[in-house]
Amino acid sequence: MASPIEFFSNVEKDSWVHRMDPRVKILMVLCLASLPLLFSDPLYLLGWFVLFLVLIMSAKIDIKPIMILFYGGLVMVFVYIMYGTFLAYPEETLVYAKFIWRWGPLVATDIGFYNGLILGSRLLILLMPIVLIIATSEPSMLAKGFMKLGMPITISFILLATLRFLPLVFEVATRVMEAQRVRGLNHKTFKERISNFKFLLLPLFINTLRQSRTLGLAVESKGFGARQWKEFYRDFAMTKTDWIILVILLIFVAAMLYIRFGLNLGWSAIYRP
Amino acid sequence: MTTDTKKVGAVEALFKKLTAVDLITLVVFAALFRILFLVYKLAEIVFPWNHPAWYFFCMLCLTPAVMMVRKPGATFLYTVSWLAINFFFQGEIPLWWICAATVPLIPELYMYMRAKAMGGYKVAFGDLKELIIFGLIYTLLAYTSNMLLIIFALGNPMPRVLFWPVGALSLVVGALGTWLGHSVGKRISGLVG
Amino acid sequence: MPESKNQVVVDIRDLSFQYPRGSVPAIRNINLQIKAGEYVVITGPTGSGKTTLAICLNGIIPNLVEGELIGEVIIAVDMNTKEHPVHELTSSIGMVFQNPEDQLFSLNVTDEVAFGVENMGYERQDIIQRVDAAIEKVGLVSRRDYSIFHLSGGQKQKVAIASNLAIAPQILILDAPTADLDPISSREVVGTLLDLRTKEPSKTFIVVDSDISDVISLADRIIVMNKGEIVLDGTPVDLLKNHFHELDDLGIRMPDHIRMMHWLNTAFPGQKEFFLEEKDVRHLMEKYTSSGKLIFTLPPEAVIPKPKEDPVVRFMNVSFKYKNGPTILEDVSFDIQHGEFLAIVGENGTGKSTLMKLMSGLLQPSKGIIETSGVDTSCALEEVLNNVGYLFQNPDNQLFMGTVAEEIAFGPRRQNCSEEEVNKRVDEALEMVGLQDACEQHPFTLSRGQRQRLAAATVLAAQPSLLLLDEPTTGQDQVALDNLMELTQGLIKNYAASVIMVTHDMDLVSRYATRMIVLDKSRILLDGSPLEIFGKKQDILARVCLAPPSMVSLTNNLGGKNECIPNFEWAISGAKIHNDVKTAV
Repeated sequence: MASPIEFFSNVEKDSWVHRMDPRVKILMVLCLASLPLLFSDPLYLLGWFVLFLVLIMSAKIDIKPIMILFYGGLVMVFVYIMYGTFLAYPEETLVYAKFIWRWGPLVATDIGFYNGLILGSRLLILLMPIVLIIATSEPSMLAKGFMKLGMPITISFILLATLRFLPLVFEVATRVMEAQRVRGLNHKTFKERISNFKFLLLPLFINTLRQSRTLGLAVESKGFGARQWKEFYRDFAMTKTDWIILVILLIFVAAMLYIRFGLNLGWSAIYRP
Repeated sequence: MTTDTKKVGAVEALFKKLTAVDLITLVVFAALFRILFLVYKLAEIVFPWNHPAWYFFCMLCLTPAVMMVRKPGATFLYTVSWLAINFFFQGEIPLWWICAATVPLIPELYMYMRAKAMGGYKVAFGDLKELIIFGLIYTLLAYTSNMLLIIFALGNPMPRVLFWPVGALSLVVGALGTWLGHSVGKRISGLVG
Repeated sequence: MPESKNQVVVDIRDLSFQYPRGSVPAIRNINLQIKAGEYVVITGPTGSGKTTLAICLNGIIPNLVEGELIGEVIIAVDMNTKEHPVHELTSSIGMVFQNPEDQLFSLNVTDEVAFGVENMGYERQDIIQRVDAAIEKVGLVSRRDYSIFHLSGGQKQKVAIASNLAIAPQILILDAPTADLDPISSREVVGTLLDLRTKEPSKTFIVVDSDISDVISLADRIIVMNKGEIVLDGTPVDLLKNHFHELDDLGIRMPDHIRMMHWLNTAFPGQKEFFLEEKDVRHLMEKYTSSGKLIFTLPPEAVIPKPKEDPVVRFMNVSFKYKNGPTILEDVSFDIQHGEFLAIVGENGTGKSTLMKLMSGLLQPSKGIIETSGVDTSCALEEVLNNVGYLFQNPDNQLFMGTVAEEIAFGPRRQNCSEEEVNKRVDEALEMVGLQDACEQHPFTLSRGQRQRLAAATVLAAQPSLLLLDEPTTGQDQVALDNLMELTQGLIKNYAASVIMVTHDMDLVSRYATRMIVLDKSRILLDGSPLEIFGKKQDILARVCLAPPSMVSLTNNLGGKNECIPNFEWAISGAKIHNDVKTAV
C-alpha cells in the first residue's frame, strides 16, 4: 500500500495543472473520465490515450510512485482479453472472425480477442485522468473544491478522513499481525490467513477504533460540530487561465458529443453475445 | 471574534446529527473493509468469482459500523468512505460514484421505516433479523449496480450467464458477512465507547 | 477576552460520572474552582479519574460520551457544559490530547493549525492572523508547509497546541502532553509551555498527568486524585514537602531531584527549605558534601561481574535495510549473555526497534547471521519464537483469545506443555500480575493497566529465555512500571532469562539495566554498563542528543570525586551522613 508521503510526492511540483483551480480540475476530470466511454473505435481510443499522455506529461507527473493505481487495471485488462477471446459468440457474428479455434465448449476468436483488448484498454484509459487529479492536487484543496461546487461539508470531511485513516488502519493491521506472529499465529499463507482470521478480527477492529475515536474527540474539541467551513486560510479563486480552460473544456465536450452522436463516428461494432 | 454563522442546507442538517466521532468510525470501518479485502481477496484474475469476497467484507464492516453509529445517513456515508478510498488509492471511474451513491438509499429508507416502527434506530440496528434484511438489500443493490456498470457501461465481455450464480453466491456471503458483523458489533460496542 | 486574575473560570460543583460499563463512578463528588491565569496540574495514578475529569471540562462528557453525569461544570463564568454542545465551548476551552498521532487531522501543518478556526466560521483575515500568530508562538514558522508525516513527536504536539492557540480559548487543557514523547520532544514541548506561560499570563492551563517531572516547575497548584476523588490540593512545595510519601504511594512519578530533596530533608532535620529546581538541589548537595556532612559512595551492586556462559543472542556482522529503503543497521556485532538486562537507547530512527525485531525473527538480516539460543533465526524461526517473549508497546496488539486464562495458556500450549503444566503456569502468572479475579473475563474488557499486566503475564507464562520489552514506560504510572520491572527481575533470577529493553527513559536504564548499547547512525556507538557510560561518556551522549538520568547531573563530581551515581537507590544506599560534623551549611 503506498504511503501518503510517496503517493502525494507529485503534489509539490509546479505545472499548469497544479495551478488550476480545484473546481475546474474536478470538472475537467469528470468530463475526461466519462467521455471515452462513448467511444470504442481503436483509433479514437488511441487519440484519447495520446491526449491523456500529453496532459500527464505536461503536468510533470512522475508515474513511479503511483504505479499502484495501474496494477489492478492491468489485471482487469487481462481478464477482459481472456473473456473476450474465449467468449462463445452467436454463430452469426462468427462470420466476421478471421480466426476460429474450438476446443470443446471453448471458442477462441480473433474478434473476441480484439474486443477484449479494446474494452480492457478503454478501462485503463479511463484511469488516466484520475491520475491527473490525484497526483496534482492537495487533498485539502480538492475537498475545498468539491465543497465550493456544492458538496456537503460532511462529505468533504469524509474525503479528508479517508486519507488520514487508511494508512493508520494499515499500520494497525501490520502491528497486530506482527504481534500475533511472535506469539505463534501466522498470517502468511492463504490457509493460515483463513484459519487465523478469527483471531485477527477483534483486536484489529478494537485497536483501530480506540485510536481513531480519540481523533474524533479531538476534532469535535476544535469546533467541527459547528460545520461552518466557509472561509479558509489556504483558499483559491478563479483566474483568467482557469476561465479559459473551462471554456476550452466545454467546447471540447460539445465537440466530442457532436462527433459521436452528430456525425455517428468513433463507435465500431463491439460484438456482444 | 468575527463569525458569521450561516444556515446549513437540508442535506447538511441531516448529516449534522453525526458527530466527528461517528464520521471517523464510519471511515475506519470502510478502511478496515478495504484492508481486509486486500489481504484476503482472491486474485482479480478469477473475476467475477472474487466478487462475493467483496460483499462479505463490505457487510462484515458495514454492520458493526451502523450498530455503533445508529443514526440515519450512516450507511450512505460508509459507502462514500469506501468510494473515496477507492478513488484515492486505486483509482475509480466517476461514473461508478453515481451508481454506488444510490446503493445505500433504499437500505437507509428501509431502516428508517423499521426504526419508526420499532421505536428508534438503536433498537432497529440492534436486531439481527432487521440487519440481515438490510444487508441483503444492500448486497443485492450493490451487486446489481456493479454488474450493470461493468457489463453495460464498461462492456466487460464476461458471459452474462455468470450473473446469476455469482449473484446468488454474493447474496449468501453478504448475509454471512452481516451475521458475522453483527456478532463483532455486539462485542465491540461495549468495549469501545 | 482576558479575565481578571481572581475570576473563577472553571467551576465544578458536586460532579460525579459513571461510564455505562463501570461498576463504580469514575469521578465522584468533585468540587473545584480554578481561577484565570492559574497553572494547575491534576495528577494521580492510572484509573484515578484525571482524564475523565478533563473531558468533563470541555463538554466531551456528556455531549459525546455516554454515561451518568451528576453535578455541573461551568466554564468561563456562565457556560454550563450540559447546556452547550462541544463546539460552542471550543472558543472558551481547548484540549491537547496525549498522543500527537491521535489528534492531528489534516495532512499539513498550516491546515491543521487553521482547522479549528476554519470550523468556527471566522472571516479569512481573522483566520490568517490567528494562524500566523499561533505558529509563531510555538516556534514552527520554518515548518509551516511541512507534511505532518515529516514531523517529530514533539513538533506534532506543538502543532496540536498551536491549533488550539489559534482558536484562543481562555482555558487550555493538556492531557499528558509529553507521555508518549521521547525526551528531546518532551523538552521541546515543555519549553513551548514555559514560553506560553510568559507570553499569555492570563490564560489558564490545566495539565493532567501521572508524571509530574516535566511540569512541576511550571505549576502554581497541584491537585491529586485517587479513586475518582480529590485527595490533595496545594502548591507544589506544600505537597512535595508535606505529602511526599502519599504521592509516592499513589505511584505518581516524580523526578529524582525531588526524591533527593525529600531525602535530604529527612536526613538533615535542620533543612527547612524545599527546592523544586534541579540546580538548587545540586547546590544544596554540594554544600553538604563539601562540609563533610554527606558522603556518597558507589554501593557494591554497582559492579557487575563478567559473564561466563555461552551467549543467548549473537549478532555477527549484521546489516539490515528495507527494500528500496535506507540502511537501518550496518555491520552490527554483539553478544547477549544469560541473565543480562540490556537496554538499547538512541534517538528515533537509529534502528532500536529494528534490532528487537531481528532478534525475535520478525525480520531477517540483509547480511550477517543472528543466533538466538544457538539457533540461526533464518533457519528455524519456530524454534526461535518458542524461546522469545516480546512485550509490545501497545499491549492490545498481542491479545486475541476469548478469556484472560486462555490468553495466558496460549503460550505454554504452543510449547506442547502438558495440561497440568499449562494450568500451573496460568495460575502462577495470574497471581504474579494480580488478575486472579479476572481469569474468565474477555481481555478487552479489562482496563488499560490490567491489559498491560495481562500482556506481561502471557509472555512470562511462556518462560522465555529472551524477553524483549518495547518502550515499557509508555502510559505506565510508577507503581505499574515497578511491578513490571519486578516481574522481569523474577524471570532473570529464577530462569536466567535475558531481558532486552528499548527505551528512552534513562532513569529506568540506570535503575535496572546491567548493560546498555547506544545506537547512532546505524551502528553501535557505545556498549558498556550504565555506570560506565553515564559516568564517563557524557560528552558522547550529548553529541547524539541523549541526556543521562538526572541523578548524573546531581552527583557528577560531587565532593571533588571524579565519578557520578546514575541511580537514586544506589545514591542513598551508599550515602553516609555525619550530622555531628559541626560546619554551617
